Amino acid sequence: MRDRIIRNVRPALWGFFVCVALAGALCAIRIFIPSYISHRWDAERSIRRSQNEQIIRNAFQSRVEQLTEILENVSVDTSLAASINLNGVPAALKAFHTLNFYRLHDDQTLDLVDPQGNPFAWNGPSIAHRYAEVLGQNPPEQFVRVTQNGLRTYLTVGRCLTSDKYYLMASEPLELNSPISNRFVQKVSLSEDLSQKLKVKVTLRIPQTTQPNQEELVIPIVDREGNTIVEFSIEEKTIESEIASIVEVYSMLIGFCFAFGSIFLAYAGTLWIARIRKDWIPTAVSILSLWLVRLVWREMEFPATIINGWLFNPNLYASPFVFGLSSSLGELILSMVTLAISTWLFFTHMIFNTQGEEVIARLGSRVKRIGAFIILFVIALFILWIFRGFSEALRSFVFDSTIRFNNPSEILLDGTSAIMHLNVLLLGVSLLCVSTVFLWMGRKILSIQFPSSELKIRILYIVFLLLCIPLFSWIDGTPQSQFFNAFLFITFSVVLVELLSRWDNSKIGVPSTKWRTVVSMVLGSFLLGVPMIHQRLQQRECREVEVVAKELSRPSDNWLTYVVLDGIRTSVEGLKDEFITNDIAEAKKTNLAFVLWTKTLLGKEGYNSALVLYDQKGDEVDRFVVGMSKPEQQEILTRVFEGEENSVHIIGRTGQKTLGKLYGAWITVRDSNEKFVGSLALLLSEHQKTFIHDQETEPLRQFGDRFENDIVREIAFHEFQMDTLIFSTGSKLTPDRFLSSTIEAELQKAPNAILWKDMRINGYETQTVFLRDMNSPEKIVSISLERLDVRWELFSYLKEFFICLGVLAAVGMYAFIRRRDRGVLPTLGFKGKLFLGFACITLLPLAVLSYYNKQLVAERVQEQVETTLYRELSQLQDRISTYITDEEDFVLGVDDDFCEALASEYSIDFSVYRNASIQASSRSELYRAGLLDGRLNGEAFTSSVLGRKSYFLTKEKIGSVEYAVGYAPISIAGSIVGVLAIPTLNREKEIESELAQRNAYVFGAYAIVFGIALVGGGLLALRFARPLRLLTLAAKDVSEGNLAVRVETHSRDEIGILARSFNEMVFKLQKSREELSKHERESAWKEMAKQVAHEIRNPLTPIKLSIQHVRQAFKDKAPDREEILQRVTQTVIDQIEVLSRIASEFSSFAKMPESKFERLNIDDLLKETINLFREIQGVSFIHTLASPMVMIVADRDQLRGVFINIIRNAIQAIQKAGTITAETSLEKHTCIIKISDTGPGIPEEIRTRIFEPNFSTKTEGMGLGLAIARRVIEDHGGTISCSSERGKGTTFEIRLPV
Amino acid sequence: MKWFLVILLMSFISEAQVKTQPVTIQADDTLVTPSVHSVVQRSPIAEIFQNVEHGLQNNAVDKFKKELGEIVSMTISSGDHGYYSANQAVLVLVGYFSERRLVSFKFSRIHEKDSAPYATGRFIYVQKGMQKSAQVYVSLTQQDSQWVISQFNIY
Repeated sequence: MRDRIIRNVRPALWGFFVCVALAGALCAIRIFIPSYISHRWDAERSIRRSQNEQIIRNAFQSRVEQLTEILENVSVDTSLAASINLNGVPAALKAFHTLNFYRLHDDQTLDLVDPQGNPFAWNGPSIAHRYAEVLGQNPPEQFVRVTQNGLRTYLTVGRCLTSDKYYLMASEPLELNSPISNRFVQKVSLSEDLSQKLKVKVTLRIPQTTQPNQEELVIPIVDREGNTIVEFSIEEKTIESEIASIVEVYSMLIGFCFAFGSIFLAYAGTLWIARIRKDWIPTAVSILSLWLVRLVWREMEFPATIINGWLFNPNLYASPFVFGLSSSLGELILSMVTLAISTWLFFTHMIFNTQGEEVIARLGSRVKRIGAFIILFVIALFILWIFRGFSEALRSFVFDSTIRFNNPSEILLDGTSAIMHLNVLLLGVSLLCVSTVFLWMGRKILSIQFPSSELKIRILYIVFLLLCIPLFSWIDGTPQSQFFNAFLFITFSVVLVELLSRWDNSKIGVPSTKWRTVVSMVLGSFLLGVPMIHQRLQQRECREVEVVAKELSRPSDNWLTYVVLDGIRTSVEGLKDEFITNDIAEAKKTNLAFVLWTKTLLGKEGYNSALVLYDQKGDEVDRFVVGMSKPEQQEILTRVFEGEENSVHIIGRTGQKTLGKLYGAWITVRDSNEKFVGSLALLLSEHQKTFIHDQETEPLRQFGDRFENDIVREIAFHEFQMDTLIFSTGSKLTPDRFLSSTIEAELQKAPNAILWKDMRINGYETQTVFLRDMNSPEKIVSISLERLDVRWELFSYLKEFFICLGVLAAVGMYAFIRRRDRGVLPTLGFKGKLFLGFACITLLPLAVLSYYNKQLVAERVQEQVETTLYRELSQLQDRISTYITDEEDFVLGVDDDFCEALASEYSIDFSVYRNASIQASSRSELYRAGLLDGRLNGEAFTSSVLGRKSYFLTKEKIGSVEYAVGYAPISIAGSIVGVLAIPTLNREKEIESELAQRNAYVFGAYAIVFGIALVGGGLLALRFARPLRLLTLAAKDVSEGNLAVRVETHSRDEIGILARSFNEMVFKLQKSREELSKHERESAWKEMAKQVAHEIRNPLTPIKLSIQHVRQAFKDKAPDREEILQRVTQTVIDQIEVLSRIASEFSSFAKMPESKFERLNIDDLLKETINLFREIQGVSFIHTLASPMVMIVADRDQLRGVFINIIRNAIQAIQKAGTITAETSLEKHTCIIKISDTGPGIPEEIRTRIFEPNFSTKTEGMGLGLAIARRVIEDHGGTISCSSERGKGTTFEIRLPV
Repeated sequence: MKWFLVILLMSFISEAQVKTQPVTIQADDTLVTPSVHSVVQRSPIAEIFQNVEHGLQNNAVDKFKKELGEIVSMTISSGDHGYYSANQAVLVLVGYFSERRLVSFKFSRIHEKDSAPYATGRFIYVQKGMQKSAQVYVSLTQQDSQWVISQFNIY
């Protein structure tokens, strides 16, 4: 372990030093950058110029090549050329079909232009009023053009397609000519893209239209003929800015070095301290190191400088918490992760380490009972104080952010919302870690003081803690959370402490306890934090509604007033710049009103507004309007001209079923000689309408998005005058006509004249705010928000719970990897698998449902859109046909005024096309301004005019908003004179609303089902797993030898059958064991008896032989018979001694005599044994002695017994006559004794079994001799083996250690 | 060492105890909570505009952050717009101005007379080596009988 630490510390230290060295080097280089750049600036600048020029040319060329590629693909299509050779409608149809086959980007256009310069077929918006101007006189075979048309500058690449000069042109916009809002037109700017890329200002200009500044570098782009197509001018960088940008890069790199260096240093420091100290210091150092790294990262703005985007953008979330640690969402999540890890380390150290126990034991022993309560009291106040901080942090999460925490139309939370909920969970876990530690300490101290009454302690300290809550609130004075939240927090903490104690006592192991603690804390954090977030969200919503109400009640909006005045000034200046004033009458031709409008804030910000120009006589000469109806314009203009010039006039429109106010101002226009030449009026509407009639009005500014459930809940605005309702936008939330006196009275007393009431309006539960206008006290503004029912809440909680599950899954994955690294493969028990199975089965339908739900809703809404459009088209067609009888009527009668009148009547905006060009529209200003294309959509032309289809639907775009347009032909006497087009907007909102409703209905209820399924699944898993668990435990007992165990079961299912089978098996096993034991005992006795008999026989044999020898000696009257007698009697006496010893041992414990080891000469023993058999007739003995002499440590008697056995067997094998050879030798440290005979040999199949007990080929004897011999030799640490050859004899080899 | 860590922990926790209503933000970027019954004295209109002007001239948002109202409507030329809390508005402005090196700024027009005082001026700056300009618009409203900044637009 120590080596491993050292091995890890060194690389970390090396890493730190490398980072520091690198940072130092970069700092040194940074110092020399200014002088280096200054020296090389001229050379660098010229290199930079040529590089920039190349990049610009390449960028332009790349655009040209893209369009050229499109042209090539289309021009090889023979059907296009073939279509030109046809006549009439088939030709056009074929051409359109061919062109529409090619997928283009939104703003790209393909045009097939005839020799007269008229578009023959097209795909995409038009790029010019007159295409002949684009083609020019005698255009070459291939050309590249850059032309301006209205709002945009276009790049066009053309190619002659046929010999009769049909040209195919591909175009796309390069630049937007006016700085107007994205709301109206999508921004396309090659010059801006190049500016960002080159980090210098690049401007695109058409030659001869504008002149470059003298300081600018001009790069002309020329065509093949040498004509300048377009010019790019570059405002070059100064040396200071170049130095600044390079220094910035180096500073960023230095910051990275410090950021990474801090990690290495912290890691090395932590490991090093862990090596030398085992107490609380390593944990403290770890925590400090974490925060050190965090602070260094913050200081170095890491990783904010790498990850540019919403994560580190303070517009989403920002709070000036200490050291900027939560200055953005990204900083906040890093801080929360650091906090969670720190508190977890603190928690594990105190709870799972003996240090905590020691601290408590020391403290507990020093205090008396009263002291214990004081400590508990202090702990309670402390943790409530921390909880207060937690509440404040949650408040900041909500109020200091613009994050939409919950989009009801989405199944899952989006990125920002998910991260914020993660922050809440991490903060809650940190809170619970700290509170649990301190409460656990308090509890332990109480246990020391009251050791015997566990239940009493529990009740005592829980009640004590709960009583501290109101006390703390009283001390605090301004509580930041409700009593219920604090109560819940204390409850969770207490439950955690109790759980910890239980797990500790059950000895389930530290890893398992840690895992359970983490799960409990995450769930507790969810249950504590998320409802508090919801409470705060509701408060935020109320605050926002109050702001809107205040704005509505104000006589005017500061900003809008300023915008109008500023617009007036800008327009007048624009007039002086743009025109010699006597040309004001030419204004309409040049779209002067629109041009001036684009220069004002109205155009840049995208407000619904109008600019009107009048000549000296007061006649209107030009007007640009967007988003304002004629009656609105007329009303405000009347007011404006009744008042003074250059001052803003305001009309409230609450009586007109719309909200907000109209602003207007006018001013006289004078030329440079101060001569009056005309006047100008600027109008602005506070509504946030788009371009389609009957759009629901909303407040102009951004709160429209901030109401959490705005697409699913109705928000209605009301106004009361003298307690009488004069206006309401609500369709279903229209209150009673008269304001109740109760509300009036409460409003009188309400602070700041704002009153919130929960009210029931037309059967709907609402939250309604009332605000009295302080400038006009009889006016009361009111806003009602429909309350959403419980299914929306459930749906929200379900989505937020997924974040919780995600955290648990991440922690589980981490634990799994850690355990796998330690070689402990975690396993999922049967209960866990069962539970997981239930959860998956419950969750799977969710995924399927969410997919199909979205598809279904989109399809349904699309169907509704088409049905509505078709109906509206039919209505208008019928109406138009009542007015026009011939083509002349159509041409003269269907004009803008006609369209506007019908549009008001039917509340439908529409346009009429004739010959593929716009003829009239209820929104004509949009076409004149170029915001909408005046050419009929190519597919619509094909379908309605050429194909004569009665209905065609397509999607189009204005700005970034996509909408659907329905087309239908207008026929007179069977011939098509024009095309009617009706746009429909705002369906996305309908789709979202429908989706949200479905989601809430389905998934809100599903949340309940999911919860029940989880709980039910858990209970079922427990129930099913219990008998298996009992079986497992029983099997474990059986394996340890306990056969008395039985599994209780009453069920009749498979588990019951298994349990009963198990019981039966164990019973049989028990019986069988008992029999086996008995049998073994018997066998043991038999064995022993056999061995005893054998051992007894061993000494009896020499006795018998000796007596036989004596008898023979006396019979033969051998001369040495006396000597023989002496020797034999001694032998007999010795063997009788042996017998006696055996008997004594056996009588004492029925066991064989213990071995008596002694040093003996093996040769002497062998010789002694051989001598016992020398008298046997027909057997000769050869004894070869070992050299040198071999001394071994052995039991003489046992070894003799072995030799006797072998020799006896040899003698028996020889039968009539033979030789027995005995030899001893020494090989290294092994004594080898070989006893061979010249008998017939032992067959192989018998030889392998001769050492088995009870194996014998003889009729007499019990077959134990060689078995016992083997046992004896093995007891001596040696081996015995037998080799034999048929007909030649058998050799026994004994090897004994020396 | 132990006591040092305890003190550090306590100081961290104290930082979390913030009140936001009403809020006084001091120059060291910490939120402090005045006592419940005290009323923050707000500057008259001209002084507020003066503070804003000085703050922008010195790239120091903290010179006028105490003048921000509880909710501030902001529209920034970088594309961000919306209603922000005072805390958030401070950091949005700090972030915006930190990326732009000031060349000059002055309020060219200050309108104090009616119930909707505002000031506007040209802000000239250098960003990524290029000199640009923007118009700053600040308007005030009454909150708890005091004038506070309710709108801050840069366009």
